[in-house]
Amino acid sequence: MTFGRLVWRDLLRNPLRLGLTILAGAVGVTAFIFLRTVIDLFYFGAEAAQVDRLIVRNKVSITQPLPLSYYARIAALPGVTAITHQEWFGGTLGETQKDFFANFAVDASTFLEVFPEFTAPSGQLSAFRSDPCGALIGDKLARRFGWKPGDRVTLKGQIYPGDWTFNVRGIYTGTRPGADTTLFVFSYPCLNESAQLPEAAKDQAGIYAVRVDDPARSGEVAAAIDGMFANSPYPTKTESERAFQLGFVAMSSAIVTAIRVVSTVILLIILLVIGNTLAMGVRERTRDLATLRAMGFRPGKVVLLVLAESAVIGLAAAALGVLAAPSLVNGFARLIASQFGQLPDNVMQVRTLVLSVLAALAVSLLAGAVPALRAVRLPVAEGLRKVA
Amino acid sequence: MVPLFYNARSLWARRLSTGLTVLGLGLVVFVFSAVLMLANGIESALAAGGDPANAVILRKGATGELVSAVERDAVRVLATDPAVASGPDGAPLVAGELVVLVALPRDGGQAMNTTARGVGPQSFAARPEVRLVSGRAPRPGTNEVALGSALVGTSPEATLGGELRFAQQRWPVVGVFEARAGAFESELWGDASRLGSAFGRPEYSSALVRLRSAEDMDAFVRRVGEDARFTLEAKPEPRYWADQASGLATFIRVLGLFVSFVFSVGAVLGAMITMYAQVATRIAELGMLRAVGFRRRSVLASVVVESAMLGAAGGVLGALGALATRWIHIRTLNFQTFAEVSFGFTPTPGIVVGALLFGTLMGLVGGLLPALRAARLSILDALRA
Repeated sequence: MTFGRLVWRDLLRNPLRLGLTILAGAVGVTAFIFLRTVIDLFYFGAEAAQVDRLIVRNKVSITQPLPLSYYARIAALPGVTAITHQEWFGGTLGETQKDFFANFAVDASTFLEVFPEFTAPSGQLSAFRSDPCGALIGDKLARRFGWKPGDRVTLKGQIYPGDWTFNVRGIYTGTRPGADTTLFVFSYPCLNESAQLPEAAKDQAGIYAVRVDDPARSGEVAAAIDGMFANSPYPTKTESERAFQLGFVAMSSAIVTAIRVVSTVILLIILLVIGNTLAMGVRERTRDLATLRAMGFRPGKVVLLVLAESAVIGLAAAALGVLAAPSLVNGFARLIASQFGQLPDNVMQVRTLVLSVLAALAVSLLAGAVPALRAVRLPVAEGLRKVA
Repeated sequence: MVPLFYNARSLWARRLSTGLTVLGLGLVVFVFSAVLMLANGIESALAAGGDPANAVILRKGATGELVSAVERDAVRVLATDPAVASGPDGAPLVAGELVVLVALPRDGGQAMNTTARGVGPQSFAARPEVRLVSGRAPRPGTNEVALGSALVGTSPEATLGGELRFAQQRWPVVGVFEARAGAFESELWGDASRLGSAFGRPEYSSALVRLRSAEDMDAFVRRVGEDARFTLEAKPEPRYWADQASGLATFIRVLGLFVSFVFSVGAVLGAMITMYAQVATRIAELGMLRAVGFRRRSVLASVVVESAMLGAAGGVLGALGALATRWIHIRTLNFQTFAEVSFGFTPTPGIVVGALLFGTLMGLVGGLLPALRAARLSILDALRA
């Protein structure tokens, strides 16, 4: 009997227990992948951030606007290749936050210059640019509500009171993985030139997004922008897009930490379940293992036998878990979509899957270590005498 | 009925396996109850910021104070309503308030969004739950601010006697207040007109109205909604804060219960493995029990009870572990108000009972199939094994 066949036979000694263990392990692996994906979700904005992009906001806080007159002054700085501005609109479809999605007023002519990860057919783009109330929406969002070019969408303003109607002029797609295709952006003039807008709120930008020619010089450009407005009534804070996004994550860091802790607890639970099963198996087989050693098997080989068994259990659980995880993540996404908006595509990363398989393997080997050592520590004669 | 003593001894006889299973079940119960306590903590932290006799006035349709605006004239009109209570000096308890976000620096270069509330002279009097624990109230017309107790120490200058800098101005901290662990404790309070001019906001964000009694609330809400002089709506203060908490609490609850459910499947399987092994190694014993006259259903009940004991032990362990978290305090961003709130794990008797039941239930479900196998054994086969 070869070594592999010996492992196989040992595994199948108690098929019911094997099945239950693998299932329990798979459940744990699925939950692990799920939680890791939720953590990735918090970092999604930072991951998608471009190195050559800076975000300029009001130094006081992100909800304070900046004057539109900064546009030309920032654009004239050396090192700045493109600039656009956008304003969080925060409109909702109904009276409440239900069916949430992000919506911004953007500068239609420069938006895609600064965000080249979005693209749309050129006909739709020119229609979007020429309509003062044109809207450009992500294809994932369009699929969610069944919107197509030519549709009219009315949002209730939260920050800007009243009903606002926009014409869907184009549907954008991402040019690279990680681009967020759940946004609703519309032309700034629709907001700024509306009679509904109070005089005090005119000609304001929420943030400026700036592209620089050389990412290595972005620190210099950021300092130049902040320096230019330091003594104005509206001082700015400029940081890289990544730092800007990480600022949001930092504010939720307690939640992220809690999820991290729970995902580690899962590994512990898998460890306990697999360890328990192996310990039981080894205890019941004390005599068999002693017999093997009496026949001349080295202790190392016996340890290897138990560890191989646990590795097979761990890998089988991981395989099953990886298969089940996508549907779990999608189920969760559907559950929270109405309140928090859709999840971007491909949030589940290959990295997470690989990590989960490695973690399952490591945990199962760890779980097998104690029973394996116990199996070889018992003197052979005593083991042979033992009745399970 | 097989005596419980027998089950307890059997579990004890296989200590390692029993211990591992109880630990696994305990971890699941821990996560389950910790999550419920956390969601409860957020809700009580935010909802505690409300008095049933207080109404929050917002622009119609506004979901929060941050996106709302209330004209100064409207506040004067509201003060004439007959249901409004009067303070000790006879003035109506009505306060126009301004809510803005301030990014206070935090150690390590990060910033935290903090709610700055511009208050009026009546704001403290209208909220009896807010009381100063040190220092004094900010004087009207100055840049003085008072800090909620949860903010103290979170930013380098955020202490009594410190001086905050934002919006190109200096804001000396002259007092610290508590609000029964409510949302106000995560806010800083200053003069509404000074904050308004510093932020270029001529209007109020909201108005706070204290009524003579909570029974006048329904009529008052209706009067404000129907008043043609303005487009405002009134909400009882507790409901306003509960709405502000709903998003974050739902997120944590959905995520946590989702995870607990997945975990519990794993733990039930773990309990099942243990109980199958218990049955398998005790076939001769179980056969003996049947031979001395115990019925099949007694054996079935015995195994199920044993498994439930495992589960209950896990439940106790998990609930105790979760109760130990109540000394931990957490700050996080509330997506709805876009400001950070501070809250803790808040246990309720319901959650503790729920945790114990959850643990026992997992044990019960895990023991069912092994118990059936034990009950199905024929006496002869079992004795021969």
